Amino acid sequence: MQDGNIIALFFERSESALAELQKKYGALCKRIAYNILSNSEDADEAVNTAYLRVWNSIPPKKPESLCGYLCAVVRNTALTAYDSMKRRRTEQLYEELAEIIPDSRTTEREFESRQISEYINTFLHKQSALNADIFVSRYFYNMRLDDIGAAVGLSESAVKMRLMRTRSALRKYLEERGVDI
Amino acid sequence: MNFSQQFWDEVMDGIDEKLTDRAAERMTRAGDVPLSDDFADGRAVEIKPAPRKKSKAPLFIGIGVAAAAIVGITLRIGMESVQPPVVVSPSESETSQDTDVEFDSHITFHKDMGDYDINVDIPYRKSSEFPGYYDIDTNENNITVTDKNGVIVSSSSYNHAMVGGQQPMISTPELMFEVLEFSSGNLFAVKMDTAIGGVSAKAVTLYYIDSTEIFMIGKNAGGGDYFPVITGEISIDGDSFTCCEINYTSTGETEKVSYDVDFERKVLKKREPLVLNRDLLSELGMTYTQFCEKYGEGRGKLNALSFDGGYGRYGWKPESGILFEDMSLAGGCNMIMGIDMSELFAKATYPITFNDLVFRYGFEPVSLEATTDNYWGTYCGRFRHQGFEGVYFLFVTNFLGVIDETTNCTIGLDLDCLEATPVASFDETIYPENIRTKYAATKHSFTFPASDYGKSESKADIFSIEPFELSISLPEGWTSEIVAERVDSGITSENSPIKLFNGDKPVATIDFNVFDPTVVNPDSPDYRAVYNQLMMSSIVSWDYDYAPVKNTADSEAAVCKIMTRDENPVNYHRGILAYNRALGVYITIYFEDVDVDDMTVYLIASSVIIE
Repeated sequence: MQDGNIIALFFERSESALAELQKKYGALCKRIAYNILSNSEDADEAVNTAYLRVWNSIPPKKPESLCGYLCAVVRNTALTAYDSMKRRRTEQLYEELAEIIPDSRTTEREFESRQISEYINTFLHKQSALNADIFVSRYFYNMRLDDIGAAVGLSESAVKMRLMRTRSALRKYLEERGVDI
Repeated sequence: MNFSQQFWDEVMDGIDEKLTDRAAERMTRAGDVPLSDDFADGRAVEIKPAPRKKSKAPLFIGIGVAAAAIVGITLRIGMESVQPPVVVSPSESETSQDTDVEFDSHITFHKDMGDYDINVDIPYRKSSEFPGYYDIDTNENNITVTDKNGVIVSSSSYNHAMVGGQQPMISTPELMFEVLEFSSGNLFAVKMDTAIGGVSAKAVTLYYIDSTEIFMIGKNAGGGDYFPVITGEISIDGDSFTCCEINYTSTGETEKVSYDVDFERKVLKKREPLVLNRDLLSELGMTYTQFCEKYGEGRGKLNALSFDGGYGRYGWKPESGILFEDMSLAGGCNMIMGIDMSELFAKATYPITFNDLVFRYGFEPVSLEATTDNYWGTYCGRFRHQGFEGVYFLFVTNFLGVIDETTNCTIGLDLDCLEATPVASFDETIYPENIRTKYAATKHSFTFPASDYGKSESKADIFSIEPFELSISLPEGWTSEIVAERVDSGITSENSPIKLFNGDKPVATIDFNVFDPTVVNPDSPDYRAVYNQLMMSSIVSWDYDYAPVKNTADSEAAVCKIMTRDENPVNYHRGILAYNRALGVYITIYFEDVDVDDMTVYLIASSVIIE
């Protein structure tokens, strides 16, 4: 079913909207939640919570991209759940990002996170769509490398290589703007 | 770690919604649908292009009806007019030994450029299987690379930084040197002069081009003099990337410069067939009435209609040039636009370059044009294939000459279809007779253990398993026979083998074995953990060209090659491996008949069910 039709079902308050949502994006949502929570039951719970939030927010909200909106809600829901537990899976991501994440002891005083977000947004918009999507999929949605590869038609190592190049360029970009790495 | 994870989370929370939306949508395109599920609604047709020739290719009509019936899920299940897939196999010239190309020797390139004395030391191994001849054209701010057939393999623009809010004046770049016949890639350097506000600057850039991208591997610029590459480095940590280190040494006041380039590159080219959706192809020429019968009423305007459940937008070209919704459509549809690549090619491994289409899959380039309005531009390529007479394929790529899942595709009945008179009626003769020829397939079921043949004390655990059933579709005319006499091939495990015959000719042997399902990680299954007994030997190994054909959470079926080494140096036979993790069993099929071709093996593998 087209996203527009699913949104229409939400506006009609038809519960089949959730069924269609699950049918179309359930697997992706589960994957995003699972990659954060590393637990299938927790992931299911986070996805269900996200569905409820989407149900409560549409209407009045009418997202331009239902998929993007839903995935962001799932991600945020999972992160919230994750914060209430021990951090597990994402530590690996932070290790990857260590080379570009600003030194918080100095940076947080000088830069608001929002400022750095803006830098990263600008940077990503200058990258190829594919590389930007890979970066966001990895570090925003916490997707696994092989899942990203499957989605974009690249090998896992090729995804890894593109991420490395993007991180390297981002590091340089941030440094040029005075962000202490 | 000296950073705050919470801080990073806050940073990521501020990522632009457009970026997260787009990434999420791309992630929904996960290619985890088994190939056999996509278009396997009927018999398949394989077309094997002759390597590098335009000669008539042999055609193979494989099996698939029963396979499709077993596999079940299809994109358009239930539609009566669904057609079987069409499979275009890669060139036979690319053997498994040639597909993994590693540069491991050196050449030295030297050219006296007047001001420059350039030496490039490049480690490489030339592969004659790759067309490596390129023509490099530099004009304005673009570098365009075409191969010897005129196919643009890559193009790029210089990315000029603004200086003081002004665009520097760039002189036409001058090609300094180039290394041709550099396997699938090419190395060249470009120098250019820039000037702004009376201050001149000069730069030299070293590029490496492969079939999909241009890599700028080093660049340096300075005022008043050319400064060639000092150091460029791209580390390697993958299977298809570059590693280079460029050292610059000046010879002092003589203004002579030399490059020492250590360049290493691995190219992995997979031999995977292109599976074309024959149902989609068969819709060219269908009348509006026929579409209505298939999909229901169409909707749209101008010269294209959409149908619920259809593939894209279906084009007619009425005399008026404009198609009104209530217009009675005469003749047949002559083009289908806006086709999703996943609906044209099933489970293709991207990127597929235009070069791949030509040299690996036998497509013929007809017209090619590039637009470079933005950094990458778009690139339109029209192709024919000898298997689809009168049909053209138009690919509009986002990356120049590189087909990926974002590529927009149109298929049409002839090259001038945009202006063509509508086809009067659906004419099946647009397809060669031999494509329409169909072979029947027959479903077979075998229970394993099939006999006590091979049973021994040491194999008691193998033969004491709960019997399982293998369902498989075999070409018509093939028969089976439980082996009563010793096989002694040394290739299979010889556990109650079943021989397959084509008429009187023995063609293959099916066998089974058991494995410990706990060794397989369901999240990241490794076939070697299952088939380790078949892959450890240096005399006989099934670990060549392993390519899964279909899989589920608990099972996988794949084609492979079996290497045997006896008196002859090396022999290869085709094989099928399939396991069921829930049952802890796998089957092997060894094709002793070398005349059984890849697509037959592929289709048999796609029909395997172990339960």
